[in-house]
Amino acid sequence: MSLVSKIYDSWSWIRKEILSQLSGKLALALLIVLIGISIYAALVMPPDYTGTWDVGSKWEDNPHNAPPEWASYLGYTCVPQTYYDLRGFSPALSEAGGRIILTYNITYNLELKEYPRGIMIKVNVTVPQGVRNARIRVDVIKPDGARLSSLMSEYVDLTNTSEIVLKLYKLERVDAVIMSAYRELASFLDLQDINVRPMVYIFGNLSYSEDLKSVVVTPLTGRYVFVIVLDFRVLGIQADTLLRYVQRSREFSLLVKGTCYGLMGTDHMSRDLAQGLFFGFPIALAIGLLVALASTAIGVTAGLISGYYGGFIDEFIQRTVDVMGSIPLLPILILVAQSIAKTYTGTDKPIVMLAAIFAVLIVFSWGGLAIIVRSMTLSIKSELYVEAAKAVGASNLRIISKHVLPQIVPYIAASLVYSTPTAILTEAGLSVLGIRHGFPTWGNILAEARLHGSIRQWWWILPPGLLIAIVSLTFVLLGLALEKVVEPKLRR
Amino acid sequence: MSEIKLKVTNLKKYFPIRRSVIDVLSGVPPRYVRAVDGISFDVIEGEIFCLVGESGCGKTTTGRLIARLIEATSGYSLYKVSRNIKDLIPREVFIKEDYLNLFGKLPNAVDKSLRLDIQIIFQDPYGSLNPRMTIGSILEEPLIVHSIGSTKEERQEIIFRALSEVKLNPPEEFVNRYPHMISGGQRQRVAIARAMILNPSLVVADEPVSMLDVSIRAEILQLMLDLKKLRNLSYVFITHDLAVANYICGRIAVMYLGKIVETGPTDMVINNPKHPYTIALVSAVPEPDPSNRLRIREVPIKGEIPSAAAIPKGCRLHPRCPYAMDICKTKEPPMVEVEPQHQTACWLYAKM
Amino acid sequence: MWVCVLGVAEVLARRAVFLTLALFLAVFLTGFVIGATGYMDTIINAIIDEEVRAYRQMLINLPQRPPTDELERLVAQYKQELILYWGMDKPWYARIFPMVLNTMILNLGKAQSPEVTNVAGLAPNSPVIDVISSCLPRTIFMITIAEVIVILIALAVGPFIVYRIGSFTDRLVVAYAATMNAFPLWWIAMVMLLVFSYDLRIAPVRFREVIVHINALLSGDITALAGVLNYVWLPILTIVVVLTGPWIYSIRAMLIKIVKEDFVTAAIARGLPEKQILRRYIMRPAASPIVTNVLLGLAGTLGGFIITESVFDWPGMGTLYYAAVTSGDAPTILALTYIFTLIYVIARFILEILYVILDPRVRL
Repeated sequence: MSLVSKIYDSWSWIRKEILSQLSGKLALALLIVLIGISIYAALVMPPDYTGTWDVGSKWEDNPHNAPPEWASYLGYTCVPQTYYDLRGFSPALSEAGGRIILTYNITYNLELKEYPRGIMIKVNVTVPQGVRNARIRVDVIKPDGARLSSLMSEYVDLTNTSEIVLKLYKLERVDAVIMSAYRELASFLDLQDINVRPMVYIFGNLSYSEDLKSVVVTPLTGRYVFVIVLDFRVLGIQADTLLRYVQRSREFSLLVKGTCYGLMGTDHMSRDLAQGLFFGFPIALAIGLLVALASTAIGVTAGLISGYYGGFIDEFIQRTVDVMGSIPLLPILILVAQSIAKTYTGTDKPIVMLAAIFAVLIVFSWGGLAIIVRSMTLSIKSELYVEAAKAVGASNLRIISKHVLPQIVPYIAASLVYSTPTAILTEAGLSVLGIRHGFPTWGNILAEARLHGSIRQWWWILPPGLLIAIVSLTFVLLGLALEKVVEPKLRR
Repeated sequence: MSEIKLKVTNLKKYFPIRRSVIDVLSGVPPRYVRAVDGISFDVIEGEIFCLVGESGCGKTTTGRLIARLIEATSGYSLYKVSRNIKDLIPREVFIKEDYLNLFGKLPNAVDKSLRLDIQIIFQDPYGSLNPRMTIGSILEEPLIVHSIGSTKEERQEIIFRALSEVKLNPPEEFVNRYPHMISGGQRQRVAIARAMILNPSLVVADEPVSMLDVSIRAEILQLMLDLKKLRNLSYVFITHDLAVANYICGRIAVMYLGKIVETGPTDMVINNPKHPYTIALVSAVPEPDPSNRLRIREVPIKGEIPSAAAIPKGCRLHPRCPYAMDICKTKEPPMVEVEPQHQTACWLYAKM
Repeated sequence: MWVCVLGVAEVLARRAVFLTLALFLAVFLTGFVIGATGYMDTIINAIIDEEVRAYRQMLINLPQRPPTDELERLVAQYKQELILYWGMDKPWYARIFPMVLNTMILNLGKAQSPEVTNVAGLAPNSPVIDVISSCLPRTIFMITIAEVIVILIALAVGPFIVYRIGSFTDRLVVAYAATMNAFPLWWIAMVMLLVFSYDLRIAPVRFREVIVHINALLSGDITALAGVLNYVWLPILTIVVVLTGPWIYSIRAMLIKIVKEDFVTAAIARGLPEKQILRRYIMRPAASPIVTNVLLGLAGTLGGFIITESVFDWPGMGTLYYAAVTSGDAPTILALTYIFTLIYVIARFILEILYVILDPRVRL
């Protein structure tokens, strides 16, 4: 019988033991789900995912700090994300003195009493030869009749190029725009507040407070008109030719950002948390299993050598375990991680930091298993059947692999199970402390929530922690079920 | 007369006793358990040579030394290698003709070849079979180790033959069973099959029947005798049971505290014991004849066997011996011949 | 008998040697990490650069500003002095290892960075020993007290459920323990802050302010206790909620092992009263593993829970260590590693002695 089938035998025995208990069943079910999600996530994960998570432009279409869409059931007002593909709209055309002006009037209905999170206009168009320059201007006509003129505008010089690539989201002198739209309130307007929360003033109803000493803003529902004006200076180009070019542009759109986003909401950089959490599955399991596998492998090897060969090497390994056990792990780990974070400057820093954290975790976590394996090896070594195997000429390697190893399989399984969540929890703990490797783990998401989020953003704080807890609960339950395999005295 | 299969001369095995740091620093000399303390004997080719004694007398250690499971502290031997493995061993290892020294340092390859030729059967068939391996894989292990049988089927064939040889029929019913699924007698048969499967010429049998039910002891002993006849084996048979020894042995050596006290052909030693210890052992065997019942207490040996870590000076038996003289307390008795081939180590028979 | 005493003494002496070795290695390793990674050098270079910049600025602003080459010479000279002062002319090991040795003989030096002294609530450049002795009581007030409460609950509940293994109560306790084992303490701390401090507003938000109250309490002002309690209740509640589960579970596991022993079955068979069985046949043999866990657990609390303290911004040993690490304050890092390991090693040694007292077989 091969070693593989031996281990399989042990495994099927372990599996039977585990499945005979409720905690074991629950754990296996959870584990299968976790592994399933992880494999799926790993398969669909874009290859550059870990590199682009921190790139802001990838997320610019999303509202920032937005709760998940289902938060509307919790009393949040969820204004939907509204997208207009302007290529399909017909603008009003006017032509005068070498200028062609395209005017789009887009109607936006705000139905809920909440302020949309932003306005974004994207243009990516190739214009024909002969267009000298272009100006884009956006006015907003509010339901109360106020006109916010030149809320956004941009000028493009086209003497050397025929490409217009623009993203308009910055507001031009928004305080001045609001003031000129509400002249009667001008002396009471808080300019600083307008610059901090411009969307509130754009989509709000401005009125005097009761004491007539300040301005109160409430969400203003109704019909908004976005007037988008494309003003081209041209030389010998027909208006309908230019219009055709605009209609065939790669992109020309208006986006009014909603207040809720997706399944899990967004963070301060408008990142889709659902994505971060989803792709966090394989990363978390990989971190846990890598550390667990490595420390278990070292522990088993050291324990086998120590118990089987004895003598000086045994003494050395035992004393090493002893000394390592007295050194506090977390302080050393924090120190190593921080030292590398402060001194290493390479571009592969996240990987180097993670590797260092792994190394410290592994170095400090094999000792317990080594002691158990050693004592088991010692007792198996003195068994008569081992002596019988020696008598027929079996080598040490054969005795270890055929007679000793199969018996410690349950302990190997238990060690894997115990050390997997430890690694995940420790990595998350370090991230939360602020020792950031920058790899998009659940711990990292939590760390950013602590750093940049307000404590009110529950959708940012709760899910990563819950996921960490669920993964670790899976392994805790599995360990609970395995306990009876490892500790036969607990069996009833 | 047959040739000598194994000649052991002055074999010793001392186990060191662990000392504390304070002992080492204060210069207390290292102490040893002298399990085997200079024994010499011959095993003739094709005979059953018995080592008899109480537990703790060193007979099992001697067996393990011959099977080369532990290293001898000192000692010399001449072992006649069987024709089967002679070609596997380089010439320079031999001391003369087909003889080599078992207790010397041997190259690894020679060591492995010798395992083909010398096998051991253990006392405890419950411990000597790995409970997690099937009978088939237990028997396959020696074949794999020595690359006997190139295919799985070939090895299966050898295993089947070995199982039938030890009367475990039909073999295909046994190969897939685990040790806990068969009886003690059947287990010992498996252990015997494992020893025989490599076709050895010398088998050390360490109390092979003492843990079995009395009803099946005779069967196992008969099986061992049959195998000996079939294969021209030599046995070193270790037992504490003189009745078993009487039934099976050609020659016998009685051991006490790591020394041989009496040796000779079995009928001479058992019917005419000379050494007070042998006399005590023989008289302790219950006699079926009621008229002899009073002989039992003829030589009352006092007390228990002392620890091998604290061996008495002089004759090792003297604190327990009813005939102890002054010289017994100071000088070890030499081996003297009391009748042809029958020797004993006792001052009662030695010329002073 | 004398031989036995000698034997025990030898075992203890051997343990003492190894524990001391562990202590030395921990501090040595810490020094090695700070030195070999270049972390200490990075920090010191930053300090030197800052001082040189300030010195140059001071020279430029002088009423009689020295000529440019004279100014450069002065600045270079000052920089050289600083380099010599910090020992930057020597390789890192020539600086760090004397520091390690000084730490070993409790010559702890002065804290280098203001962040560290800030956690302690002391003036910059205070001696490390003062910094530690002002943070230690705060950790004791929060974490050690919480752990004591947890242990008391576990010791009360453990024996109660060990007779009811498999009952509904038992299952409930095991489920609770498993769940709490899975949740990171620091995450529960974040949630507790969210709920009690920010949502319900019944707990404070800035826990660092507790320094004033604890200082007042330590100087004998009993009325300050109310202030301390106001800050301390939430962290203690958090720790008790999370750690009670695992603690009950481990006590339960130790007791179950003993309950399954034959001598307990025999005692039950003899019809001894439940209380007596619990006291004489279960708790006494369980004493040594329980004492081990309790003592090591309590010793562990003195080092503070680094992450949890940091979440609450509690000015104890954990936050101090984190501040020392982030600001690269080598003397404080070494001193804290030394103290953490020393506490653990002393606890281990006390245990070795207790084993001799608790276990009649060791005593002989």
